[in-house]
Amino acid sequence: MNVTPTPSPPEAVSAAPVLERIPASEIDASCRPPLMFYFGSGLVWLFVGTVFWLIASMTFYVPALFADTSWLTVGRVRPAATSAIVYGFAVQTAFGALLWIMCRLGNVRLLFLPALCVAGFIWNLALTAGVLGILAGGSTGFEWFELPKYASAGMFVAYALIAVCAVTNFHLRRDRALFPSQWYLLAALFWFAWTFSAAGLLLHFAPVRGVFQNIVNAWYASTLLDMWLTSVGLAIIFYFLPKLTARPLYSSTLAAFGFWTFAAVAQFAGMARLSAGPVPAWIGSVGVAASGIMVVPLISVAANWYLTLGDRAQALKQSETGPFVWLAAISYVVGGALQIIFGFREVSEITDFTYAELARTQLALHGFVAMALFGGLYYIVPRISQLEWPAPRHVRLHFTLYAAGVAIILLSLLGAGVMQGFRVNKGTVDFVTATKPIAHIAGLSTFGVLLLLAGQVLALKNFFTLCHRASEQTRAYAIDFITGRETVGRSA
Amino acid sequence: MSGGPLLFLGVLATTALSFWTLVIAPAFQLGRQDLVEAGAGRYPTGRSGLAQRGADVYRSMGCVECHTQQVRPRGYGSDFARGWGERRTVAQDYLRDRPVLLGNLRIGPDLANIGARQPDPKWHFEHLYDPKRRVPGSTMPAYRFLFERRSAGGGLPEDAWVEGEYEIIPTPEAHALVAYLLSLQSQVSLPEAPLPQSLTNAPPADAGTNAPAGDTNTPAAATNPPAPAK
Repeated sequence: MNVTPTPSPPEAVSAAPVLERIPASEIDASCRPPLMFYFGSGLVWLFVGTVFWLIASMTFYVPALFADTSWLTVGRVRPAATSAIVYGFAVQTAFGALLWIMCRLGNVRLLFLPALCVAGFIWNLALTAGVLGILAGGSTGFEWFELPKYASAGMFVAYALIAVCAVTNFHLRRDRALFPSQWYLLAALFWFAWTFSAAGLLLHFAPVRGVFQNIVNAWYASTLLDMWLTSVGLAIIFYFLPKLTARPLYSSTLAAFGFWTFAAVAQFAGMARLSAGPVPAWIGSVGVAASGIMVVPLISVAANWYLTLGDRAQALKQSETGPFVWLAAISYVVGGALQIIFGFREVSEITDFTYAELARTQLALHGFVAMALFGGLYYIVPRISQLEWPAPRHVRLHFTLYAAGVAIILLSLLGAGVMQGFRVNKGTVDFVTATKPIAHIAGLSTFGVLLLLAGQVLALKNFFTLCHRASEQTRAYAIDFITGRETVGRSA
Repeated sequence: MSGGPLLFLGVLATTALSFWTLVIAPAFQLGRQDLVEAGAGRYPTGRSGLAQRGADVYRSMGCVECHTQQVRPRGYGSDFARGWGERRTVAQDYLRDRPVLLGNLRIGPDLANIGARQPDPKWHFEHLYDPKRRVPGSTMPAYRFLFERRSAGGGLPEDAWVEGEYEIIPTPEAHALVAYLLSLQSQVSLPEAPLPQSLTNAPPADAGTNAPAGDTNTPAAATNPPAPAK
């Protein structure tokens, strides 16, 4: 049962009447193989996806840029970028953060390492096939569900494997009390399994007719971003905010209240964007009402964080993770507020189908989810690998570049979106004349994408230098072991 | 909160609620929908084989990333003022589409009625090859890979044109895509979305793709041959 590579003797976990606490470092070490794999491939996917994103936004400056290459036409590169960033980076890195937080909070070692590694391979293999499939013209055309059938099927198998391991591992926890982060993570595991399989079934394997497809698609897309990824992001913030500030969570009751309202309402809020579409009118109305109610979980979560933080905001700046978590929390509140505002019919009449919606999505994905995941990654990786970051200054620089990049993307897309709303959705000026200045403003987001890319290069360099050191260290140990020299503890 | 089972049951209940409301209930409501007698026959009328293949090209090129196919209700936004449709689009219009590409971003104009607004195939071929040629100032990417370029000489196939010393010949994919675009019309009067009495089915004679109905001063419309009356 004990699969940790640490030299400590295996403990009789189930036999002992009173469970001893497992030291944190031992739990960390047990997480090493699958988590390093998830984090490493997540960072590579993020880079690949952002390069695609850059190619897609360059097409708006030079429309004839890839006119002779069907693989790089904007209608294929954009879904490829989304799939790489969402499924390759966000979901995959979230798996890693989820497993680690669950192990730490449950005071239990990570088990099932081979299964988790195999699941990671399947996930990346299926995703690679899917992204290449999109570039070859295999996109399904469904928002955030563009990956072809075969890719979704493979990814579902991988996900099922990871989820079963995670839930079993959770069941074997030694610390029985539950912390808010665990509520969000457990619910997230469940939500993704349900919506991913339902969407695959109803859109791929037993396709439904007509606009019912779009209803299922909207339900899936909003669950993926506004529930699954949001839950993992919230879990990370709930975990690190008290930890880094060394203060207890302000109120567990308030957290429970926020969690249950979120769980009950958030799945409906995504329907608001169908409110003027060719679907039964009540679906849009349910969405509009739900997105208004979302103010309740938003305020209770934000208030809980604010009161937990108190006067200890400075403590966050001391660590590498703190700034990321801080910005993720702010992005969550701003993004949540934008979602509620866009839900009102008077506003959605203007913001529907514009860059403003895109601005909200990018803020949620890059400002909130990615920030929280980076915060987790920068904390977790040194602990599971038991090595320091080779270039700590690059972590700070990565944060600065990312914060600036997200701000530029948000402001340019929001500005362009509001203008687009008034000139295209409400105005009657000729379409080309109306959109000309908008394209220029939206084009400014390319600079933001460049900054994100620079930040990612730093993260990649840091991560793989650390991996290289780890492998050198392992090799040194192996040589010592074979030659019989007892130099345990020497550094590479 | 204590205990995993309680948490699990709660989460199960909330998810089941949303699943029943947003997936099962619409399935009951929309699942009964069938073709209706409207206009010239059963609506929505099926597409030709070529147009059906074009729908696949439309999907694989990711046109949905920049174009919607839905007209919002009158009085909600300016879809009508732009001449994007004469009535709002409703669920009935999409009954035969798979996938239904409603779209959610309008970087380009709505295409729900592009077949009625711009019925000239030649316009579409030239526009796909080089959008700026037909719509000056357009930000749409060019789709030159849907065309074959070869030296001039020999008989010019239908829908091809000469550019300098080259002939530009649409590939089968381009033909299919244009056939699909021309098939995009939701101009049949339905009980839930009747056409306005004063208007007819015929598109405005001067409607360029990007032009609001009735505006003859736009460059797109100026270069158009007059649309054949229906």
